[in-house]
Amino acid sequence: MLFTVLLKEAKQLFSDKGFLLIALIEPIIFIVMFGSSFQGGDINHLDTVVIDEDHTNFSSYVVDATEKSEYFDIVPSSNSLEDNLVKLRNSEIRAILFIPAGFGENLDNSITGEIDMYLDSSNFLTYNSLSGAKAEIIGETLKNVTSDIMDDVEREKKEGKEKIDKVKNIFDEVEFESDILDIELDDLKKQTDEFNVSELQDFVDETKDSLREKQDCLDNAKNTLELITSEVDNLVVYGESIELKLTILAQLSAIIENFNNLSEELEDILDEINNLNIPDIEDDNLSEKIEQRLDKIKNLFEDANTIAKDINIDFEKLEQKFLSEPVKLNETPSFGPIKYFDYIGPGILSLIVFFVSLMAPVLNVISEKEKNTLYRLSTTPVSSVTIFFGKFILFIIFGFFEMIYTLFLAIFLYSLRITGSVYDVIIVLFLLSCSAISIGLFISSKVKSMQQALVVVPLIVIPSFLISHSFFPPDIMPDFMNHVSKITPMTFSNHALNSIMIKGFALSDIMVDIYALLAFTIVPIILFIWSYKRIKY
Amino acid sequence: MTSEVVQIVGVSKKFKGVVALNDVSISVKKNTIFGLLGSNGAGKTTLLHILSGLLSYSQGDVYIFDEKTKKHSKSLKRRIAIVPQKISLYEELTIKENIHFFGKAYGIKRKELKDKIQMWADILQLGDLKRKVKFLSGGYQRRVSIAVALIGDPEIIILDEALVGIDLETKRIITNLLIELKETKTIILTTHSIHDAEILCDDICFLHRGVKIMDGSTKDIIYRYASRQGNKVNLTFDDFKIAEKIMILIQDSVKEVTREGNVLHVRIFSDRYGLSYILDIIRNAKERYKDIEIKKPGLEEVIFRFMQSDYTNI
Repeated sequence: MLFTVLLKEAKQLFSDKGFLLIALIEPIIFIVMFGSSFQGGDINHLDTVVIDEDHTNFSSYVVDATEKSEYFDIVPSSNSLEDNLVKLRNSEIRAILFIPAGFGENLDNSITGEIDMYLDSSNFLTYNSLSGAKAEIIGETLKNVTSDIMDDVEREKKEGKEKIDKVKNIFDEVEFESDILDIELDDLKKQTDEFNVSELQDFVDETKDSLREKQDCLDNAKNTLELITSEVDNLVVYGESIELKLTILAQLSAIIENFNNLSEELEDILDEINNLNIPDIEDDNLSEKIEQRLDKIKNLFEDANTIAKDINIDFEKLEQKFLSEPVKLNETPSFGPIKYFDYIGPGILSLIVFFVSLMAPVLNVISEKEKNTLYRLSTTPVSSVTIFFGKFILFIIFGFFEMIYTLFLAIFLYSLRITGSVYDVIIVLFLLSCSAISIGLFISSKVKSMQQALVVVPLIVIPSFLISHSFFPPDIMPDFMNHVSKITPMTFSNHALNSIMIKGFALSDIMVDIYALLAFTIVPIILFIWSYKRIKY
Repeated sequence: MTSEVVQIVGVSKKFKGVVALNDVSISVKKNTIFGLLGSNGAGKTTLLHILSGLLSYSQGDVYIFDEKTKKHSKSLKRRIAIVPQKISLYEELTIKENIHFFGKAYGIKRKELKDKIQMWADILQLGDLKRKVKFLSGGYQRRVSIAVALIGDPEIIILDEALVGIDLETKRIITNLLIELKETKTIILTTHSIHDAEILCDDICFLHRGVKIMDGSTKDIIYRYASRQGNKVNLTFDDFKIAEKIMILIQDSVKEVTREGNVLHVRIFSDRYGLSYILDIIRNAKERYKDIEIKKPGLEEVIFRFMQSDYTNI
């Protein structure tokens, strides 16, 4: 018996050729349409305008990074920020990257360089994608900017190292001169009897004063080096810079050590001079030599001091504050921050209104066809135009209340964002409802059975819902699919609602959508009236 | 205006290469009931759709009220009403609402409509008019369907199998109504029931696979048949032996004689071998019949014979 029942059901099902044909075509349409629309799967290659008012190497790094990113397609445009903001507002472009003059100069002066990025936030998914992609631009720019900074530091390090070597040489020389001075002082000691003691005493005092001066010079140089060492030590550096820092610190430490040794030696010399029991020393020639040597040592110290002061590494470049954010990208969403529900809200409203308004007349007319009342009505003097408008007006009233009810729930339960006028939203939804009713009536004049209707309606509603940019932005779809999407009024209602609810546009800004919705209402009306006269009973 | 309100001249209709009607010509006289007969697929409904203006035809001409028409004008539609085979009423509406709606569709004014609704409700015995159609029995639904057709006061009423699937009371009401309506209107009906057609129809047309096989006045058709095929006489005897004896005596003189027990079924003509001849033979054989029944042929028999002769000869 089960087989018999099965056989009967199969015969019933397959007797409807129209149903079978639609059931055969439906998967092809669905698969081709959805496959073509979403096989890419990523939101990228978004039209972006780059305004570079800086024109430096650094700004070119930003432009290059933007060009390199697959998320941004740089499109030619004027350099006026105002003009491009208007384009952004109309969603003609998705992003503006504005590099102000002084960006490169700031980086040169170790001040964070700031860039402004304006994003079209009317589309939640596109906006999120772009917002995430800005990290790519910063990352790529930073790579180049940091590389430039490190090149500078490397160069300065090389120059500094040469200067430190020079100072080291000077101190080697000072050491040598000091040794000779020691010998000369010994000679002087041996000859004390031959010297005039008072003169020698005077000379020793002068020498002591001179040595103290040299010691002060040495201390100054040492202090400068210690300060440099301290600054280098405090730096927070990364990568190759760490090795560089350690090298500099080691070299500075060696120099300071040398300074200390020299200082101690000078101290010893001074102690020895102080401890001298000066006999009568009378050798003008030797005194002069010592005096000259001390002058030489003094000059050497002065040279060392000058060179040490000239060791000029721009350590500000390596400061943590600068290095932590050398480039800053300020993001400005064109329509403020947006919630996902705000973005899909217009789509949901469109879907409900479209589905209900389409389904109601289809069910009504098919029911009339099946009960034969439409046939009977056709034999009366009532014209097809009257029949159409009788149904149309009723469904419009029905659709209107359905739409108001849906809108009310969305606003009061989920605080749906409506930046523009709620009346404009109602007008757009009303027009969508009219077009859905018209299409529904036309379909119902063509469809022969409820079974066929239940296959045809999803064939219209599901693709409409998926390709009309309600839930998936146009940026995810190939260009030809964006053209295909214009076969459904939902595309236009979604665009209009998005413009009103997110962007705050007025009806005058979305007249193209309004005309399209009117066309979607009028054309099916004409087709219905034409088709109604040809219905076969 | 001629007495023919509908003239169909050589009309043919094809559906995707299949001939539904082939060169059919029919005339329907004013104030008559015209019956379209034929088995399923004969082309009755196609012809009705052409008459109601919902279907165009491939060839021929259709004249209604002397007006050649292919697609009915509003004024013509106002003069024709249809009672479809299916109930074709708004089930969620009440009886009154249905009649009222179609009354408005036929352009009846509100004032007039109220009285008319009541009038037809009384004639068709519709009862409580506030009942929803979906709760009515099949018979009542058919009555409402007829009321809906009549509310516009049409001159031609087309009934498609209107007497099928209804209770006897409804059938009686509708039959009587149609006979009464004939006085003022022209009625075209299709039916499978030849009995109904014989009772109701003044003229009939028999279609078979889209071709007109037979048409004319119902009485004429039966008369013509009777004159060719004779009348049927049933003679009942006391026992079968007598019946057998008489059968042998008359079988060479009559067209047809069969025996069923003690009953002889004899087909006779109004000629010299008529009833008086058979009665003489019985008398001469010194036998007596117990009962005699003379059966004139009916339309059903005519059609049956006609079908048996492969639609070629009555």
